[in-house]
Order: sequence, then C-alpha cells, then structure tokens
Amino acid sequence: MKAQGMKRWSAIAVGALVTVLTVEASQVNLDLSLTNPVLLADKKQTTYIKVGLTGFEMSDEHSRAPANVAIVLDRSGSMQGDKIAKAREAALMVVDRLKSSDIVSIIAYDDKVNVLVPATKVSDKEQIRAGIRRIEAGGSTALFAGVSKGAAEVRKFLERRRFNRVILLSDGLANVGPDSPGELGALGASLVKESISVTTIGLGLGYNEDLMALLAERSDGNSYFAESSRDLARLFDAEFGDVLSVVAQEVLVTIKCGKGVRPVRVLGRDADISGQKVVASINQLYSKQEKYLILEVEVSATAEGRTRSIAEVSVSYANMETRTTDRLASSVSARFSESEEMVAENVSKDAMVAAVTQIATVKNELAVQLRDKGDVQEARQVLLSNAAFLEENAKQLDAPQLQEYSGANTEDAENLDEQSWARQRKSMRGFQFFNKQQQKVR
Amino acid sequence: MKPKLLIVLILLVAIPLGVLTLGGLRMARHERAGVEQRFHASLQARLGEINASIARLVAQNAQELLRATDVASFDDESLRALRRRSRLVRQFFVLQPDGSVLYPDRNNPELTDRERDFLDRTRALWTNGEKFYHPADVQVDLQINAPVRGKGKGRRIAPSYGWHTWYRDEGVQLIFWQRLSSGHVVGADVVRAAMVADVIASLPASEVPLWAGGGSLRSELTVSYAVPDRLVLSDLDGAPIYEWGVYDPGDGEKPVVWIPVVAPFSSWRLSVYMSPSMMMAGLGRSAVFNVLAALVAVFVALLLLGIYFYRESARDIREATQRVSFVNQVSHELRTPLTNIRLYAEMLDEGLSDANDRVRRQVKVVVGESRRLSRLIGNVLTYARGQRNGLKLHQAEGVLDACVTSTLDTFRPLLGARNIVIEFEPNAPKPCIFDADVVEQIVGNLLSNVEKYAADGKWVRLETGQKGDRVWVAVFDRGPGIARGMRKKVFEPFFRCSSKVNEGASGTGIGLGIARELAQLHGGDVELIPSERGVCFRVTLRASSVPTAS
Repeated sequence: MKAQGMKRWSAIAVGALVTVLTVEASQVNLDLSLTNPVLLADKKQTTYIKVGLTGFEMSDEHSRAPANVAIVLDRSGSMQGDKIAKAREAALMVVDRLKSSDIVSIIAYDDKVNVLVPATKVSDKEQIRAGIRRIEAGGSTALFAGVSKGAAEVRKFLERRRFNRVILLSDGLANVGPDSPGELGALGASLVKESISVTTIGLGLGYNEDLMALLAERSDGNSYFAESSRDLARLFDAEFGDVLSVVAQEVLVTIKCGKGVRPVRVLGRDADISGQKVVASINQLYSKQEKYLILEVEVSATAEGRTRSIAEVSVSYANMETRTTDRLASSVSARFSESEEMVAENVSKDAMVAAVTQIATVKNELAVQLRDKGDVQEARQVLLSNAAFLEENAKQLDAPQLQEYSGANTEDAENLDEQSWARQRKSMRGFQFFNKQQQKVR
Repeated sequence: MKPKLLIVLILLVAIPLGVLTLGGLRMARHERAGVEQRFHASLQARLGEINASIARLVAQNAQELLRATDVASFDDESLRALRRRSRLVRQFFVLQPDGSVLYPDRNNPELTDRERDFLDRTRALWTNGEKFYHPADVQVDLQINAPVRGKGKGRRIAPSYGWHTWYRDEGVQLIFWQRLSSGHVVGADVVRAAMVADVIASLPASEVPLWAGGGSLRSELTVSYAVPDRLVLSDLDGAPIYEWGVYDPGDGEKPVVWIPVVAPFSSWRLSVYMSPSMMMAGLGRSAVFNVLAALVAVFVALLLLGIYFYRESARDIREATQRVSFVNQVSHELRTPLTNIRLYAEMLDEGLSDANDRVRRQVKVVVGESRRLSRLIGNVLTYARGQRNGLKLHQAEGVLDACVTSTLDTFRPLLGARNIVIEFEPNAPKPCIFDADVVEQIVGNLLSNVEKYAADGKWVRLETGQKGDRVWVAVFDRGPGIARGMRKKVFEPFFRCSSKVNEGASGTGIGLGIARELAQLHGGDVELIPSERGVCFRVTLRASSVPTAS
C-alpha cells in the first residue's frame, strides 16, 4: 500500500495459503486474501485482510425464491409534478418485472400513511397499477411511519427464504415522527434481524442523505442518490436487478485472528470486535457480485523467513437456491521478509485496491464531517491528499477505479462552497455508500 | 285604537316567544352539556380501544423480550450472538443477584465498542445503583413466571420483569428486564425505533383498500376505507409520531379529546381532532338548532294568528264606523223635518185658545214627543261627532239657573204626565261663560233618564251651585237606584243597567256617556253620588264668572 522501499535481499515468497473447503456448484465463493501476503520482517506493522464473498450465478431465473417487496413512496408536497410522475412510472416498471408468485405492496405517505396496495401476490397487475396511479402529491413527510408500514406489509408474508425488502423513495426531510439518522438507523438494524432490508432512493437535493444512507446501511439495503427524477427508472431497474438476483442471505462472517495479530477495525462495515474475534454480517449477496469486508490488523514483529497465521475465517449463510444454511471456512497466513522489494512485488492487487478504496472512503467521510463543522479549508486539504493518495495507488496498481475515485475526490474538494454543498454532500454520501457496500450501481 | 291593537298583538307574539326562547335555550344548554359529555366519553372510549391495542402490542413485545432475556448461559459470546438475532434488543446486560454488573464487564479487555458504548450511554443507571427490584414506571399485564420474594415476611412479591424508562436526546429510552429464578437480572436495551415502528404498524393506515378476500384485489372493490377525523399519537413535546384520518386540523387547533398512552410510553398522548361539522354530526342534531326551529315555528304561528285577529278586529272596527256614520247621516236627515214639526207644533200650541182643551193636550203631546226625538237625535249626533273627535264648545255669557230652568220647563209636561213632583233649588244666579247647549243637553239627558228609569219615585230634585269658576247641577231622584257594581259602567256607551228594570221608553244607552263626555269637554265631569235612596248625578263644569258691572 505504501511505497515500499527497495531492498535487494530476497526471500522465499510464499503466497497466501488459501484453503477453500468443499466448494460445490451453487456455492458462494469465499476469497480470503491479504493486501500484503509478504510482510516486512522484524517490524510491528499494520496490514489489511480482505474477506471477499461472491454470489454464485443463479441457475434459473424462474426458480428463484419469490420476492416480497414493499414500495414506499414519498408523496409530500415537494414531490408534486414531474417527480411523482416519474416515481409512479418507476413503480409501474417494478410491477412489470415481478412474477406472479412475488408479493408486492404499495405504500404512499405524506403526513399520514396510505396503504394503496396491501401486501398481495402480483397476480392481478392491473389492480396494482391502478393503486400506483392513484398516488398524488401533497402534505408533510412521515418517513418513519412510511417505513414502519412498509415493513409491516412485508412482514405479512415474511419468510426468511424470501427476498424481503422495503424500497423507500423520498425527496424530503422527515418531519413527522422520529426523524434522526440514528433512529432510522436503529430501525434498519432491527429490521435486518428479521431479514428485511431497506433500500433508500433519495431524490433531488432536499432529502437527508445521512438518514437515508444510515437506514440502508444498517439494514444492508442499497442507497441511491437520484439527482433528477429521470434517474429513477434506471435506479429502480438496478435495484430490482439486485433484489431478484439475491443468492444468499444472513451471511455471518467470523474472523479469528492468529496469535500476534490484533484486529483494529473493519473499514466501512459494522462489526463486533472482541479480543481476537471479529464478527460481521452481510444480509444479502447478489448473483455474480462480490461483497467484501476489509479488516485492519496490527501484526507483531516477526522474524525473517517465518510464516505467521494471520486469520481463520468462517462464513455461514442461507443459500437461496438450495434453501439450506451453508458454511465456508478459510485461513490465511503471511510470510515475512526483510526485502521491501519482495514485499512490494507480492502485493495482492485485488485486495489492495479494495483496501485503498475503503481507506479513502473513511478519509472522504472525515472530510464531510469537517465540512459539516464549517472547516472548509481542512476538508479541502483532506480531500486533496486523499485524491493524491488514490492517484498514486491507481498508478502503482494500475487500477482505473481508483483513478476514478481520485477524480471524484478532487471534484469534491472543488465543490465545498455553500451553493454546491447540498448537491455535493449527497453525491459524496452516495459514493461512500457505494464503496462501503460494494453496490453495483451508483 | 289601531296602534294600541298592534302593540297588543306584538306583545302577544313576543312574550310567549321570549319565554319559550329562554326556557328552550336553557334546556338546550343542559341537553347539550349532557350530549357533549356522552360524546366525549364515546371518543374517550374509542381512544381507549386504540390504547388497548397499543397495550396488547406492548404486551406482545414484552413476551418477545421475556423469551429473549430468558437466557441460560451468561457468557459474552452467546449473549452477543443472541443480540444479533433479537430484533428488539440493542444490547443485553446481566446483573448478579447482588446487583453488580456481570455483563458487559467494563474491566474485560475484550469488550466490543458496542458494549463500551452501551456502558457509557447507561452510566447513570449504574451510578444510581438501579437494582430492578421494583416495577418500572408501568406494569405490563403478563403472567409472572418466576416471582422473587422479598426478604421479610408479608413483603410484596417483586415482579420478575418490568420496564425501566429514562430520557435521552432522542426521547424515551427503554430498558426491559427480567429477574430469573437464579436471582440474576437479564436486561435488554430495547431498540426504541423498532417498538415505535411496531406501534405504528399496529395502528390503522389513513386509507386502506377494502379486501375482496382471497388475497387479491378486485376491480369493484377499489373503494377505500378512511377514518373521517384525525387521530394523532404524539410524544412528550406534542410532536406527532403517527397520525391517521382524513381531517386536516389547522395550526394550533386543540384536540377534542386526548388520553395518555399506556406504559412504557406514558409520556405520549393519543388525541382526536375533528371538524366542527363532524362534531355537530357526532353530537346529533344540535338541541339549540331544534329549539330555534321550534321557536321559528311558534313565531310564525303566532304571527299568523296575530295577523288574523288584527284583520278581524280591523274589519269589525271598520263596520262599526260605517254603522255610526250611517246613523249619523240618517240623524242629520231626520233633524231638519223634526225641527219644522216642533216649530209648527209649538206655534200651534201657542195659538190655541184655552177652551179648546182637548186639542191643546194633544198638541202638547206632539210637542213633547218631538222634543224627545230632537234630544235623541242630538245625542246621536254628539256621539258621532265625539267618535270623530269633532266636539266643540260654543261658550257664551249666560246664567246657569236660567238655562237649567228653561231646560226643566221643557220637561215639565213630560214629567207631569208621569206624575213626577219637581223640586228645583237654583243657586247659580251669577252670569258666567258656558255653553248653554251643552248644559241643556246634559241636564236634558239626566232628566230624560229620570223620566225613563225613576218615574216610580215620583220625585225629582234639581240643585244648582256656583263657586269661583265652577258651577254644578245635581239631579236627585227616588227611583230604584243603581247597583254598586254597575256604577262605573253606566257611563259606558250602549250600556243598559238591566233588562229587569222595565223602561217605559227604550233608551239608546248613550245618554250618560255623552253627558260625561260633554262635561269633561267643558272642564268638568258627571259623577254618580252615592245616596240613601235613588240616584244622584252631579254635573260639574268650569265656567269662568263674568265680573258684574257694578
């Protein structure tokens, strides 16, 4: 990750020892790797473990488990006109994509909540469409109640083996009922324990991106920033691409760090660290898409030529195709060398790109915090150095996605003024979420 | 006459109307207060039902938490795994039977950030030494599985579970705790948002399409059910948490009724807002409205009745006036020939020799009767003029005694024919100014009455008097008299004392009335003076005396 110094001395390079147990067809792929499979000897240092999980390809689209989706639409006064029209269109498109065994409910809220279509099988699409077309805008924003009702509709047909999801569209600040990101986040964290995820779509520049992001993050849903109502169709499409391709749920990742390895933090995801043990959960894995978590660890100084077991990882998840609970396990160890060149040569590109992305995202979040406090100068500094950091790594690792994020950070640094901030903040939060959750579409 | 009638009619309408209004409104107010009370009670009952549904939900959540906190092993790992599964729990904690914290242990080096955060957040709980012996703010009605007895005998059984609430930035914070039979307390930091979401989910939506049944929507049943008023669940600061119903209350509008929510949300309120028209509908048709409607009906009825009577009486009056006018005209027509008859009869009487006695007596009868007829006509005309307010005095200098004497003289034959003895005591010899015709008519009427009604007494006495500018004439008789109760009425026009008094000649009944009216016009009066026998009328007039030429 950091430019490694050159050292002529070479040692036997042993790549990460990855043992994958009983990988059959229709199994999630567990990829456990270190950013630096070879570490510098005789030095206490920080390094990163990547736990990557890739959903298998759904064998048959028609045999997938039925989806159970609540579409919760903001119809407050600010949604009037084009926004509500586009939201209706997007919802209609969703109904078209669902098959008749799926379950859908349509909820619209202003200061009150109307259940336009209670949870029902998508057998009579015309009636559901009629319900959607009845949505008119006007009133305040009872976002919490909207989500509560949406979750209640999903709960009517709640099965752990379904894709249970609330899709929330809002363009405004919640102003009726609980309205803090913390409370919505807590609600999300509670819902995910029932296997209900909430995907949030923020429309325009008026919504509270922190609230929307935290709700989605804690419930392991997706979060999108739709600057214009024209984006809605695309985002709903992407979201349903995800929903309909869920291959695993209730993914629980347990990492046991080896002796002399201290877990510091998990970047971008919520996890419990207790001593040597780290537990994190990911609610959904989608077909052919990788989700990962990056664990920062502190490795004790180790003698040249030695191999140290870094971590053992076990994963359990609900397989949506076989309807069974499957387990995966793997372990990873590192070799130690005195040659910095050797260390640099053995860098795992894939893991490093992921780690760099997560580190940069944490920095980007810090910049938002600074800007929120009004510290524009400091925020700009953080963003510019972040951009430089990404740029350097992009070159070293030959990673265009890091190059892109570097450009985004530069752009962020240039848009910290008052006029651009509302838009820019949403854009930044969106990108952060996209990075942290490895979302498919931004 | 007419305006008076109008006033009477208006009063006839207004007074009963006023009394009815007052009584009706008072009754309506009582009625309304009663209805309002019942209406409020019914609303309160409705809110009570909603509250009961919240209570059921809280009980369900409590059951869920009872199961969640009923743990067998208190090691960190299993408690952490349990937290990951329990949707209502943000963090568990375990207390030793002696109240000390077993989990999460602040001194444990392997404490997770979440556990540390929990200990920080709930620091007050531990420094205050909350023991969770006592029921928290509110009890949940559940079966107690493992009651724990207090130390002393007779001490109340402490509940084995309960809620503990306290307040932090985001409002009420909830802790659910359960005391296990081992004496350990297992507590849960409850995800408030999840419970609030459950409460909201359990409450009705503003609009729900009616189900056709069978889990599918049918086109003919797209009708939505909506609550017509507005129900609001609000927090400690009155900020709405959830609301439903069609009615949109204005800013600052007060709820019709509100009640506190059940524990552990006792700081919340359930309120109902309603539009005034819905209130009216709820209160039934307003009693005030009913009373007003009845009043309007009574008013209209009374008014119609009044108008009817007014028209009737106006017609009567018009007819009477026409009659009077007719009689008046006829009398006028009669007077001229009668005057001629009198004149020639008197001339004939004067021209006859004493020898021709029989003829002379007959002529005297003609003269007498024609005079009587003149008086009668005079009275009728006077009455008619009086009705039209057309009476006028023609005062001139004269002597009252002379005037009375001359009048008496014209009556002598008539009275003589009835064998009535005449006494006259003249005491007004001084000249004064008065209307001789008026005096003649009054005295004539009085004497005529004597002749008609008191002839049986065979006696009449006249007295005159004079003092200052007042003169008087008194007429006494010894007839049957007038009963006490009728003394006032005799002056009313067309009044006749009784049919039992056999009148020789039928009177018109207006004589005394006219006499009094004329006397009053002349600044005096005619009075009925009580006397031992018969009747005494005294006529007083104002007649300014003429200074005698010395």
